[in-house]
Amino acid sequence: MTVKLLKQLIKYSYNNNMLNPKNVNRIANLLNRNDLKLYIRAIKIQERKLSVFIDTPMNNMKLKEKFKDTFPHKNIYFRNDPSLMLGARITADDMILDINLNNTLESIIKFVEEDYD
Amino acid sequence: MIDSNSILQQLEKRLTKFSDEPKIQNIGIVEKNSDGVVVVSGLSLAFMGEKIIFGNGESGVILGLEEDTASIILFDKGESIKEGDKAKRTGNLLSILAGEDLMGRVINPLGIPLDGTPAIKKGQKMPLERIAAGVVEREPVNTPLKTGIKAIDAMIPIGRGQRELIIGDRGLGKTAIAIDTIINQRSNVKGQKSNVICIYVAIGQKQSTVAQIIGRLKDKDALDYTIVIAANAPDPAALQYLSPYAGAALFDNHRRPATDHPDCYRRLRAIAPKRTRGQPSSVRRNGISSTDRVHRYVAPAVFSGQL
Repeated sequence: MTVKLLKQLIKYSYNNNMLNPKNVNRIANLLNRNDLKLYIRAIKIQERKLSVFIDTPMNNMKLKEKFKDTFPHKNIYFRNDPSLMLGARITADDMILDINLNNTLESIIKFVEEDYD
Repeated sequence: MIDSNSILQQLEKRLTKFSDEPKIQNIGIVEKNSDGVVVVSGLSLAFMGEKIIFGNGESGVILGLEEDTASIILFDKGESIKEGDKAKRTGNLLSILAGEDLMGRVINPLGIPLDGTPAIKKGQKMPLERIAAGVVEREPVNTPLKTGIKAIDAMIPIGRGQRELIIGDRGLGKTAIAIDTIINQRSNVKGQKSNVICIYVAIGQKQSTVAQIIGRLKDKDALDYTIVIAANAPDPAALQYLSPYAGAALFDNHRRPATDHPDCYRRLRAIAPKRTRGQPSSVRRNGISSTDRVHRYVAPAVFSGQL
């Protein structure tokens, strides 16, 4: 299967940034084992591109609404992570943005270890 | 005497350097792990030759970049790296610390000591893969490198900076020639350092063989001016592949700069543009004569006592 064809299949598998199960089943039935592997991998990568994971230490509805405005065309998933203490960790595709107290404390420890040895 | 105020000021200055900026990481997800090569999706900001660290602490270097994936060769066995594991960028090109501290040490191609001594902390970071010096930058070969083997020195003399291939069937003594040459570089005057630095790169050899060679160098007091880089038979293929690059990187660090060479004046004169009477050269038009330029190049060499 060529990369071009794979891209076309992925495009056909999505409707409004949501996976269309009907189309996916139709495509999957037509593919052989090797191509199916490639197709599944490509879907996983596409899913990652379309999703944003937000880890927060507490359930704050206002904050969640704000994030929905920030990423309008993405599927946002909220996760609870008390180790962050304050702030959030945003994972969008292959980028991770740490804006939380845990990260600040860790960077202070790193700075002290490196500079005050 | 330093007063307490100045100490406090210095400490405060250091604190001001600390910046609490949000951390942005570019990560990848392991898709496939086969035969020491890991295919990772993501890592969209990664570049060729960048060092990558996996979730379990093992590391590798990017040797292939595709649209969505990157191929990484591992420096470790990588048996515990599974599909779905995370891989982090380091932002650094694969490099080795080079300097005087390496003399007499046995290291692997990443600069990690194999002789049980403390890690090397001082030195200049030399990238393993870099563009080789051009013809102009190189010194002409004009000083002989005496191997101490009469037949070679008489019939096929080798110069410093020259490459020489030793080729032959197994068991003929190719390694013996190289080791004897290293040993023969030792200074005859006791306590005086050899003015030749030797780098021995052992690729894919048995650990016992490398140990024997190191023992021999130690017995003959030749280890003080020798750096041994070893990627033995059981080591991953990536380390064996990188060993000659590590050797070349260390060599580049110890290479004398071309301007120190006594012959630099002649060569610079050859490079400098010739002026004709009627038409001033472009250098002259800019306010700097070609001879000025040559003198500027030569001045450091004169002060360092080379001319």
